Amino acid sequence: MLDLIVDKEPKSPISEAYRTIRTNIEFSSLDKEMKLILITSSGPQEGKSTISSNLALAMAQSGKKTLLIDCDLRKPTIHKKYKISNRIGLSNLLADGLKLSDAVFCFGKGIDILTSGTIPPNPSEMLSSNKMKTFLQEALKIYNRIILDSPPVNAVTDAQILATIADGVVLVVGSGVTEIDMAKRAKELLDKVKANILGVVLNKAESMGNKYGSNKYYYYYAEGEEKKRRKKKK
Amino acid sequence: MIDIHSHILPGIDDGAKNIDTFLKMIKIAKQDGIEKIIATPHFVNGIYENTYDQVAAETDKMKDMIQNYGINLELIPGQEVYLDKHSIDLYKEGKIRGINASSYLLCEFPMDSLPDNALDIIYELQIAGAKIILAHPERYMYFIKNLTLINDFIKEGCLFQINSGSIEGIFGKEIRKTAMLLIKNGICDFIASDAHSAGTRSPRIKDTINAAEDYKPGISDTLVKNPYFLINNEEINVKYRKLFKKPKLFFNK
Repeated sequence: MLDLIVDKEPKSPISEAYRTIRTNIEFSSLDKEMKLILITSSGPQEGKSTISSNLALAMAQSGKKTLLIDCDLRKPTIHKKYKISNRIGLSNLLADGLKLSDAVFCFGKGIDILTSGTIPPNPSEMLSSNKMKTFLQEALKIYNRIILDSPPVNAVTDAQILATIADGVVLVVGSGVTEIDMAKRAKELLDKVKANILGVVLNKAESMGNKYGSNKYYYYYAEGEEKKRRKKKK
Repeated sequence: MIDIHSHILPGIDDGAKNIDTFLKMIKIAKQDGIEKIIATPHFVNGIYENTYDQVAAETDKMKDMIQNYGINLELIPGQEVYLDKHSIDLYKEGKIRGINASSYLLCEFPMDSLPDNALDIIYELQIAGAKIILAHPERYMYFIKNLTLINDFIKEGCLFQINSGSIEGIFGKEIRKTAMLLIKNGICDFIASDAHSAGTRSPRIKDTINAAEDYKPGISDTLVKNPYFLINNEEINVKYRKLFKKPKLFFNK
């Protein structure tokens, strides 16, 4: 059993929040289809991988063939979320010239996963290589949606590099975790490379539903079990 | 009682040197009240390459010998695997296997420094179906220096085996202290002898299991039962546990 809420409790308010993020991304651009989406944050431990794993599932549930790529070649965690092996992945594909079909893990449920692979000594160079670009272009022919999980943008340049390739960027901020200045800095860094910031996901927000009754609305429709936290899209 | 960690098989690693020592060790174990003893020769890539099948064959041979001497003690095959980047392939090839062909794999790391990929190796082995028992965590330098490091291994779902010799203090004060701290916090699923000879490191566990009970009431029951679950390949449930850092005061470093 996966520990991902969209899979485990698809009717819970939190899963509903993920679907809201999905819809908001779909409608964020009228002219260009958002196919290649980058998820990043200002610092570590804000919930990038949790958001990207669940969002990928939510997208797959809507019938889009989805590929989730762990572009965090420094501290990868996607494979742990899905409890799959990380012996072969993106870095092996780029460095050893493996085919996508050999390196990808077909998870089922309409979602394929490409884990980070062996940790390379030069992640930034790898991600900015032409090979990476051609690989993504090839992958876009097979998949409707590709989600890139990346390292924090303030710490290393990897996310900036990927932001130039991606159709849109989603910035994750952790409520009570992210410092305001850090979030501003992250936006600046993304703006510098002319990234298309689609929006910000406020993660780890305390639910105030019981106080104000706003959660009841969700529960009425969602039939989910009671949860203390929910996620919001700003 | 079952002793899950011993280098009792003669002549195949740095354990028992000859059949004489082997028989002496068997007698010591029997006297201590051990019913079954698991032979876990080292598997170190390039140094001691005792594959599971070889150990099993050797164990069968020795079983007959014990019977001929009229001693009623069961010998069970296992391995103590020194983990490195090759371990996953070796596990998939079947050269290393769990104790008694179960999914419980007894593992060790270098004593002086923790490899960067230690947790990755454990993760991949678990994906391949193994359950990891970390042998003698109290003896590793990096755990002695910073015991909260063990939380990462708890999070990965490892089980922990403490040496009876460490509790007796034969490896020194620091190691004894670390062992006791682990027991107090319930981070100990097995106590085993890690016997190498019939001398100081002989197969005895009864006294140390009793000693552990003084530090953590109720633990001896688990320590005696867990090995039975292990050899039958049954689930060993562990409670949530975490080691908290002691608040460091500036005058009390």
